[in-house]
Amino acid sequence: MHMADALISPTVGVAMWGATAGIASYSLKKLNIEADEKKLPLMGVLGAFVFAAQMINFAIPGTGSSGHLGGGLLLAALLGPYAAFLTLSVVLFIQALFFADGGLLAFGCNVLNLGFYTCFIAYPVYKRLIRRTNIWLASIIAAVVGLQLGAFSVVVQTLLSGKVELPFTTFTLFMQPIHLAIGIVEGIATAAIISFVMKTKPELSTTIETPINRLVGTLGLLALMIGGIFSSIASSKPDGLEWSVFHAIGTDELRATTAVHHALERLQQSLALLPDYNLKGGGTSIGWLDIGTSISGIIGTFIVAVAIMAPYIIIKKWRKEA
Amino acid sequence: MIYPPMLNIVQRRNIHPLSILIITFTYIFVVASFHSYAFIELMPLSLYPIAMIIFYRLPIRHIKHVLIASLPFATAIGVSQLLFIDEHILFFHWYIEARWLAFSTFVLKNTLAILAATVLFLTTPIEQLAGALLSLRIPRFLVIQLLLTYRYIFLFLEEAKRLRQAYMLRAPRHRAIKLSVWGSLVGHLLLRTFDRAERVYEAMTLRGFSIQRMHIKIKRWTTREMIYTYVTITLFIVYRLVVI
Repeated sequence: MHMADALISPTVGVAMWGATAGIASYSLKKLNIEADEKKLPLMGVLGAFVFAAQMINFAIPGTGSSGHLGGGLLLAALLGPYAAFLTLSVVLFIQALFFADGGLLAFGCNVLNLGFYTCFIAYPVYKRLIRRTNIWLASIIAAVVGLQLGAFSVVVQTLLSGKVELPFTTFTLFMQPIHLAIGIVEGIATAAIISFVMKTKPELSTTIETPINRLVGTLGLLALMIGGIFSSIASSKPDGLEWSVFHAIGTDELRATTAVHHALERLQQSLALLPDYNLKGGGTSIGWLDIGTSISGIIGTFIVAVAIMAPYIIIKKWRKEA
Repeated sequence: MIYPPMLNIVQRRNIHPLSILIITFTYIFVVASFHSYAFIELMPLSLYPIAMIIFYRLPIRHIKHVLIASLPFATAIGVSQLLFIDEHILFFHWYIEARWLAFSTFVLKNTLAILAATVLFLTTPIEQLAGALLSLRIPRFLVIQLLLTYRYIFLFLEEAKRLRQAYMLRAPRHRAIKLSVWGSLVGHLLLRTFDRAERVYEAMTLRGFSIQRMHIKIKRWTTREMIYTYVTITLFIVYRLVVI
C-alpha cells in the first residue's frame, strides 16, 4: 500500500506531510519521552523488528500462497498508539529513503494511510473488542478496519492528485476487497504473535489508554455522513444569490473582464482541489449516490472541522502559555 | 527487499547533507508537478540523477536493484493507464494513442523520483543525514530513533534470515512457515528484541546517555555549498515555470 511519488500531486503530498507533522508533534507531546527515556531504545529496536518480521513469510492455510506481517497493529498493541505512530513514521522514512519503498513526497500519505488509521482508529477498536471477545477476532476486525480505511485513503489521495486516470468506482472496488484479504491475514499474524507473547510475558502489553471523546466522535461521524451522503442528493437548483444574479443579468455566474481577473481565475482553477464540489476530472455515480460529490462533501467537512478547531486550539495554547 | 550491499558503499565525495536533502526534495516536487502526458518535458530532468551517478561514481548495480524492485508497482499502475485511457493526443505532428504516452510518463516519473532518492541515500551517510534533519528542526528524539532503528535493521534482518533458514532446513518441502509455528517463531524473535532493547538501554545509561546530550555532528553549511544549492533548485524551478 506504499504510495509512490509519481502517483500524487505536490499539493496533496505537501498537505499530507503537514498533517503527518501535526500528528507526530501531538504524539511526541503525549508520549512525553523525557519522562520515560527507556522507551527510546525499545521503539528503535521494535522498528527494526518490523523489518525483520516482514522477511519471515508464513503459509496461508488452504490457498498455497504466503503472507507476511505489516506490523502497525502489533506495534500499537505493544507500545501504545503514540509511540507506535512515531515508530512507524521512522520505519516508513527508512523504507522510502533506503529501500525505495514508497516515495519521499508521498511519505506523508504513507504515514497517514499505514500509521494513523492503524494507531488511532484500529487500535482503539482492538482495545475495546479485546475486553469482550478473544484476541484473534479483535485483531482481525481491528486490522481489517485499519487497512480498509488506509486503502480508501489511497484511492482518495490518488484521485485528488489527478496524476493517473483511474475511475473512482473501479479503483475502490479493486482496492477494498484486496485489502480485506490482507487485513484478515494481518489480523491473524498479529494475533499469533500477541497471544504467544501474552502467554510468555504478559507484562509486555501496553497500559496506555487511548482517550476517545465520545461526543466529538459521534458528532464527527454525523458530520461526515451528512457531508458524504446527503451532499450527493442536495439540491442542484441555484442558491439565493445565483437566482438573483440570474434574474438580474440573465446568467448565473458573473464573468471576469480584466486581465487580472483572468489570471486570478486561472490560478483558482489550478489550485482548487474540488472545483464545483466535485473531483478534478468529474466523479462517478452508483445509483443515486454521486461519488465525486460525496467525497467532496467528506473532504469539505474535514476542512471545515480543521478550520473551526484551529483557532480554538491556538487560542487555548496561547492562553495557557500566557 | 534490497539490503546489505548499501552498507559497503564507500562515500566518495563530500557533499553537504543539507544541500542534497533540499535539492532532492525540490527535484521530486518538480517531477511530481508535471502532468500525466509530460514525457518529453520530463526528459531533460533525467540529466540530474545521471550527472550525479557519473560524477559521484555511484554503484550502478545497486541502483539497478532498486529500480527493478520498484518495477512491479510501476507496471501495475502503468498498465491500468493502458486500460482506462481511450483517446488520441497530438504529439508533435502526429496523433498517437494517449494511453501509451501516459504509461511512459508514469514509468519515467517513477524512475526519476526513485533515482533522486537513491542518489540522496548513496551520497549521504545516515549520521550526516541525521545532522541535516536536526538543522531542519526535526525533533531530536525522532532523529535519534531513526539512527537506532537503522542501526538494528541489518542485524535483525540477518537474525530473521537465520531463523528462516533453520526452519527450512528442518522442513525442506515447505515453501513458507506453518502459521501454527510462525507465531511462536516470530514471537521468540520479538522477545529477544525486548531483551536487546533492555540491554541497549542499560548500556546507554551506563555511558551517561540522555536525549539532549547525545552528540550528532551538524556539518557547517559553507557559502559555496549554499550557492550550489540555491543555483540548482532555482534551475529546477525555472525549468518548471518555463515548461508548462
